[in-house]
Amino acid sequence: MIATTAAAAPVVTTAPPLRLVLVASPDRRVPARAVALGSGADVVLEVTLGHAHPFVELASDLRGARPDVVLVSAGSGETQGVADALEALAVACEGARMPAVLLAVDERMARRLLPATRGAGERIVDVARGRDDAVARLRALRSGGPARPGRVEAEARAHTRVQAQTTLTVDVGEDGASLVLVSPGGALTSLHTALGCGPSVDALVAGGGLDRVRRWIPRAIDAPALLDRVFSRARWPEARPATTLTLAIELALLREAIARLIALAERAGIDVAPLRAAPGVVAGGALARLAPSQTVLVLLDALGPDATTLVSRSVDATIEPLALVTVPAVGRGASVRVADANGVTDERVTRGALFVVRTSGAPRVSVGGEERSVASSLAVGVVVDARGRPLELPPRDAERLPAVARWHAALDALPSEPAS
Amino acid sequence: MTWTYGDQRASHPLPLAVSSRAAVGQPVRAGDVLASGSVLANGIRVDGARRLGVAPADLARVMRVRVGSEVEGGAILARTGRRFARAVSAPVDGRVLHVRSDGDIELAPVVGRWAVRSVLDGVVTRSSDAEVVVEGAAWALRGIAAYGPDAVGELARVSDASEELVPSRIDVRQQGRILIAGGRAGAEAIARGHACGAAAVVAATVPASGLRMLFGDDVSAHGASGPVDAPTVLCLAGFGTGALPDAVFAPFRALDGVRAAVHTASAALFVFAPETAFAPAAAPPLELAADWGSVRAAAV
Repeated sequence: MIATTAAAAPVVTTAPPLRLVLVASPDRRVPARAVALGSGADVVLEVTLGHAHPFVELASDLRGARPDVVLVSAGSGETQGVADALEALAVACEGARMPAVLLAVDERMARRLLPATRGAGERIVDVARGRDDAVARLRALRSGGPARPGRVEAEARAHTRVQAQTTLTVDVGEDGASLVLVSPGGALTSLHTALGCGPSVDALVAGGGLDRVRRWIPRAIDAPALLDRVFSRARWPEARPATTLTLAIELALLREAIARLIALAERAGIDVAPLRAAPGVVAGGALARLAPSQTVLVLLDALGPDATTLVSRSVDATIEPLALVTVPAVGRGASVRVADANGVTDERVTRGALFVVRTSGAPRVSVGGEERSVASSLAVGVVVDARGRPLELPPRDAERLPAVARWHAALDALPSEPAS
Repeated sequence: MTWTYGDQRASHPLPLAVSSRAAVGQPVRAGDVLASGSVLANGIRVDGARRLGVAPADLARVMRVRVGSEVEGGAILARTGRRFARAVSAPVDGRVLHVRSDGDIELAPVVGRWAVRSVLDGVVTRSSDAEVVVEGAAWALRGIAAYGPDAVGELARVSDASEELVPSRIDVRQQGRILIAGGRAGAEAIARGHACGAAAVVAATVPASGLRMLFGDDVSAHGASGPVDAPTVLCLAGFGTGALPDAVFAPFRALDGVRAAVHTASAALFVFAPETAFAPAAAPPLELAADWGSVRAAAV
């Protein structure tokens, strides 16, 4: 079903995320990025110490960046570089409030640097060893309404309690995207970005390139037209797609929001393998408001789970199981056995296949000797994904378009357009 | 998107190195210089407190020039007044940009000048080295996004409602004017307007790919202030194709030749006409059309 409402006034965004500047030495840049991802802050500028940053240019960049907070992570050999950056910050903030400066440096270095922060600095523990502390400190600096990270983490903990297994919550909304993995023991991997499917959707496209969105659309579309749609969409975050084509763009943007967060996590040195191996995935936010098959397809494409996964969605604090996704190792005679209220179905699996076995009641799936059952019925069914990992799309349009269209058709994710 | 008359507020962010700026309470007209300053090249760090043998905190006491002043090469920047005097002099012509917390002095050569002009007739209500805020009465029409520097000029209607702005309608007679288009304005028309000296182009819609051609691949849907040599574009309704509702476009017919300004940061067109110049009608809300890249009035 497609929502038919196209009308919606341009909406001003809610409380903006913290604008963060990272100042880090090359060896500490990666853990500093991980802190930024954990806090949900928007990294507006990254200054790598040791690279040439002329003073005036840096001051000008910092003034343009308008940071709320500056996170410094450096070793004692970089004292002079950090001091230069902080002096440039002081020049940039002439006539304005100095942002908070968090110094993740050793105590001696902090003593030397604190005068340069003009009273706005404080020392925190090293970001590599005390990531959680740094994340908590950054979150505490955010003001202006409830923050996305805390809300999604609370939901993710609830999802794990309900499902009684390690669960990944994937929440994509107008204000950002989040991936939160919670184990029954309480261990937490929490990643957030301000790049969502709302006002920041143009930044999402600018960062990754238009082709990363276009590749998921099962129709030929020229880049200028897609760019117009993306730009207008950024100013109408509440607009809903009224046609199959615009719906396909929405799904592509949601995929890119998740894929970008995963890419940022990899850039921040975070191991994303546990995210892909989670036995349970719960969709939230705008992702959960799609039709069930659309939610499942977007998660399959963007997240690429590599183990048998129960995909659910969370709507109004209720978890609805959507699909049991199996990712069989394709070899000679590979097959999937699905048992449900209607009996037993055996399906042969070929390389590249993606299909759904519709089920009735609580299904049980056997793949390569591994068995998995679900306690309740599934809105979509058992999805068999043998497209391989990592999922690679054909580079040429002539091959890519039919492949992507086939995947959408396999899950009945896009409704057919009425004949005109 | 509706015409409103009343007290408007416009913030003018300032670049680095302010030399002078309007004081709070000063009356200004749109186009008047609010602040001016220096464009700086990359600076030189000059030994200050250490060379003089004073504590960094005491450097201010022995400075002979103020931070922000421009000096010639060889000028004394700071000097101790003891019997065996020590002095710090400027190695090159430049501006004393900053005194560091360790007592060193940042000196930057001046390579140009900048000026920030008011976009409102009104009074300065806030003034700092970071921004100058002006408040004054004007008609205002808020758009979706604006690009380039602020602009001031007389309004000139160059296309009718829903009509695309074609480059052949633009010539040097429109120099210094704000061109109004009721429909789409493409990159060619905007570039031609800029080449002919037009102050700005205000259009219902602008193609996003055209904005990328004009302002670079980093351009966003939320607008951006640009360098002084870039065109000024105010996008009223959206991106792609679309037309202004008549309630929005009709007043432009009565405003030809009236002084106006485009404020890029707030994506607003300010028109300096009396409150009685026209009676604004309620504009229908806009919606994203079902096709790829257009907006339209919901009631149409």
